[in-house]
Amino acid sequence: MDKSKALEIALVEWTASLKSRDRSRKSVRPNFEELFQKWKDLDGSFDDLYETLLPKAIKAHLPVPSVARSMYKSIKQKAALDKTEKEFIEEWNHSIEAAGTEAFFEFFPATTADHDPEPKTFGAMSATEYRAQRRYADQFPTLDTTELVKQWREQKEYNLDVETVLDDVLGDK
Amino acid sequence: MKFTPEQMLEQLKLAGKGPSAEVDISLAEIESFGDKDSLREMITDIGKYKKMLSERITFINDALSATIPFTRENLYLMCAYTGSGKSTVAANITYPLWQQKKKTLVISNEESKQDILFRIACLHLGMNFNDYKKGQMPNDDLLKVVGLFPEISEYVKVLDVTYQDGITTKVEGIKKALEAVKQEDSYSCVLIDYFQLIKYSIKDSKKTSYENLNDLRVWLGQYVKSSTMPVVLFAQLYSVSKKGGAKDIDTRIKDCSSIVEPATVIVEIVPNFENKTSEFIIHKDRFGMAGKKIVCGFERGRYTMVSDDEVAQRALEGKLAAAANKLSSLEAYGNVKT
Repeated sequence: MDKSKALEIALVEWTASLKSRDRSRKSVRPNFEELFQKWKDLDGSFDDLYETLLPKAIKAHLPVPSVARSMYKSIKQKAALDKTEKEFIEEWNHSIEAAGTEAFFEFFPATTADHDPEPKTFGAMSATEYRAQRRYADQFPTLDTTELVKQWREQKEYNLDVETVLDDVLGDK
Repeated sequence: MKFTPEQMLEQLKLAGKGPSAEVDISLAEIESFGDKDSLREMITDIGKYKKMLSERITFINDALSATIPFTRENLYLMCAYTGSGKSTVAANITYPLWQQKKKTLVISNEESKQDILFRIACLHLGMNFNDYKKGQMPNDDLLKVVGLFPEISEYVKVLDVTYQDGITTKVEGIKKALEAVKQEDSYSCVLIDYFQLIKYSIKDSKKTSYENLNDLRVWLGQYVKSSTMPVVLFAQLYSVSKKGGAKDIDTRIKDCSSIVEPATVIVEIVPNFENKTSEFIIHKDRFGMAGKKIVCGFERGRYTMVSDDEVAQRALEGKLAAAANKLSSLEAYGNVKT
């Protein structure tokens, strides 16, 4: 199976499992860690996950608004709370996002995209990168376009008289 | 102002909150396939496709046009590593279209509108666009270039990132622009530079970049099937060494590699600085050329046709130039006594 598909399926499975999991504060990080371990086992990388699947995982762990609101009400009834409902929910969401992101960076250390410390001597490429690109391009055979170009230039009757074709095909249909 | 229930429904629909349309496919509709109207529609579409082929619209140069017909109902994904020539290729696609008096829409989140016209004018006049960027273009030349702007802009329409506060970076903005030119029916091509920068949504600011790119990808798949012109979409690649030299293009497309699915043609651009050539590697096409590359010369910003002998000659000259450079740098360091 394609790696990106496998990573996505792992996320879907994990998201579904969240319904029956303990999602209290102490379990947030272990929940994320379980998913990140799965991703690591599937050979996922920082670039495969950071911009695409991590935000989805965090979003999946956030409390649904109705649950968050009723939690706010229930806490407020029991104790003095100096936060508005909006502040309370935002803080809750941020703490989940922070826990998930922090754990993610431990599993998948950040890499600077395409960071190459060598000086750029070939356009935006270093000599090493350029050589790698040359080796890569050399794998592909060159197409001889002489005959194709000749045919293309000689093409004269390419147009189609639609009305005639319609008459021929449809007739009195 | 009081709305009638129908008007209310219309308003909700406009706000994207209306009830979802009921799915209704009747057996009669299915059975109507093959009747006079549907046959007429299909044959007319074939005629339009053939008409576009007969116009022989140039795709960069004759070698590429002959290999990859440039026609409607196709999404051409042009991929390159940063700095490998995406904007130059965009200008090389637009330039022959302008010469053939074909209207093109260029949606660019990368270059400004004046730079896009400047590049095309430079190609026409045989001038070096980079001289302008480096401030080395004489004023007389600059005036010649700018003098072509009215003529070029008659056929080359540009929406750049400054248009309507960056609407071209938003999925909805791209959709609207593409729908508009489709209705007009006088456009021969749309270019979008580049895919990964269309990562925002007007409707839902909470959506991730990936979700927005994926939405656009799905929508483009539908759009090109009935498009009246070819759509060229540029995409940025990860470097080859970062992905271990993988031959597979989808592992190297940044951010949303599923764009390979709706693309009917995928071409990667790889410059060869030593030979002054560029290679166009065909990764996907409908014409049986995938897995091969076309080598083009690169002169004054233009991708030209070159013969095998010329490529070999350029390679030799490139090696000689590299050796001469190496020698002079060694001499400069005093490692070689002359």
